[in-house]
Amino acid sequence: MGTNRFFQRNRILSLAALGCIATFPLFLGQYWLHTAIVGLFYVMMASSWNLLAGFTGQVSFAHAAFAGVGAYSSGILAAKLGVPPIIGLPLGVALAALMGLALGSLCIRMGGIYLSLTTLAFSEILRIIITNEYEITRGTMGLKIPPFFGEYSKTAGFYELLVAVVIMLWIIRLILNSDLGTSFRAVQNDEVAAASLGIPVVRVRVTAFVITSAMAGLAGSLYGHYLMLITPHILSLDLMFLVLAMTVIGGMGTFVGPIVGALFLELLSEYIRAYGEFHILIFGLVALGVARFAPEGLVGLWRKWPGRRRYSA
Amino acid sequence: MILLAVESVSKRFGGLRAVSNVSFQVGEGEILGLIGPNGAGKTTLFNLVAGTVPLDEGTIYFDGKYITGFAPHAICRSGIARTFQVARPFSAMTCAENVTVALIGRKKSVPISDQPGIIKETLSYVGLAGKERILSRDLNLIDKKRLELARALATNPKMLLLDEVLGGLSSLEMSQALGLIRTIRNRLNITIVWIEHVMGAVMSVCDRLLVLDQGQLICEGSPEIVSNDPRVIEAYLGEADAEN
Repeated sequence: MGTNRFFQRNRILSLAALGCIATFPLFLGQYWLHTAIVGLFYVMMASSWNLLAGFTGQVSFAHAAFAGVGAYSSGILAAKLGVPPIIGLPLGVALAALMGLALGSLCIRMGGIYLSLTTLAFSEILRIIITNEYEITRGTMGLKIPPFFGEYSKTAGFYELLVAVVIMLWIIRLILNSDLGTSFRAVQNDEVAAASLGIPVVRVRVTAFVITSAMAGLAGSLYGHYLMLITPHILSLDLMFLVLAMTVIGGMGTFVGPIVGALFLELLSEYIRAYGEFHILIFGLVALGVARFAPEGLVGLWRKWPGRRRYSA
Repeated sequence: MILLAVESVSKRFGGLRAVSNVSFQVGEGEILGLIGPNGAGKTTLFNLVAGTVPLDEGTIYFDGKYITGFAPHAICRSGIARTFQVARPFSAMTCAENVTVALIGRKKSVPISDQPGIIKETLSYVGLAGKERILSRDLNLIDKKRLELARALATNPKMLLLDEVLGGLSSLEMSQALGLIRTIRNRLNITIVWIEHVMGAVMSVCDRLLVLDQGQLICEGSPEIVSNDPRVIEAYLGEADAEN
């Protein structure tokens, strides 16, 4: 458990970092605070997708769609029926988990590219439905929804997402260090061998789908209530590929990778925003290169670095 | 006492009858050898018993329970462990983690606090002491086979299906492996069904042999009986030689 030791050694460091991050609203301007919040959303998306794709090997393209399910469920409940988000959010998460159960069960006999294509189709179907059900979702115009708590404030939004990020990362760590996490990795490494050792492969795979879909639903719902305007963009493949690039570049199959990747790419895309939408293309190309030449991403490179220096010294 | 009873089991792959109408029984505490020429259906028969491949016809009882058509993990939990002909370690996991998977997979999974002790014991039993933290993809062929055996033992089986554990071993390693197989049966009281091509080893260790040829059971009995059976000689050497 390399990740485990890495984190224990750095527990104080990560608590200190969390303390620093918690003071952001005191000195960051509105623009950078917004960037930080978007970054936190992507940390949730990338970390939960990594739990599914990087640890059970199910490369799903429906993760953004589940974020959309979460956002639109609690959004529609709040905007159309006046259900407070504190109730709507758990319902959205539950619906995302339920759809994750359905999609995960559909994909149990599939591996690799077939699972990816099926989830891709699911994602697009959902996006098209939400775009076209204008009466309910207001389509591409976007649906205005209330914030999570009371009045709109970036500071409140920041702390909501920060708390959610901390809880989600804590849960992911617990899962990775549990028997379930070991089963995930066994299934990813070799399904036939795992089954021959008594691991219920189907149940493990579907469980991963349900958990990570719920996490995506939570991220999407909170993000929607922060933006106060939800559009089908949250279900788009643009967002999906960005999450994928973040995970791959940061380090797929590692705990820290997606966190690093999400924050790094979000920050980077703010700086190169001036060059238009090309940054997604560039991220895609970089992700391709990383997947080919440094499969453990930035985190993997960073870990190997001290070793390499020792040889040359 | 009969531990495993396989009755009229068949499996087709398209037009090929990989296993046709095979019946046999394995007694508790036995070491049963499963031999036959290449392509005879030995591994397929293993896959049917272990549930890795679904069977077309027939029934299988294990330890008095009906296990026909059970999922592979359920068959493992009922007490049948297996190794694969080509070792399939979880390559990105350490040796200790590989064994952990088997502990988790047990019917009553071993609590995390008890795992390290059993892992250490199991690994040293197969000769992998001190290699807990090595990634299984970095092991050599023999150690990969040892790890495969360690994982199978860690499921706490009543019966072990060994698929060509001796392939690629030197004569010294082979005699170590044979010793290990005997101890597994004698000390751990695990019944063994064993596919093997190394005839000398099979003859010296097995209590009884089954011979498969073209998916059919052609002979069954003690090593002496089997090695003198004309059908077996024919299957291995061809008709012309058998007549001589």
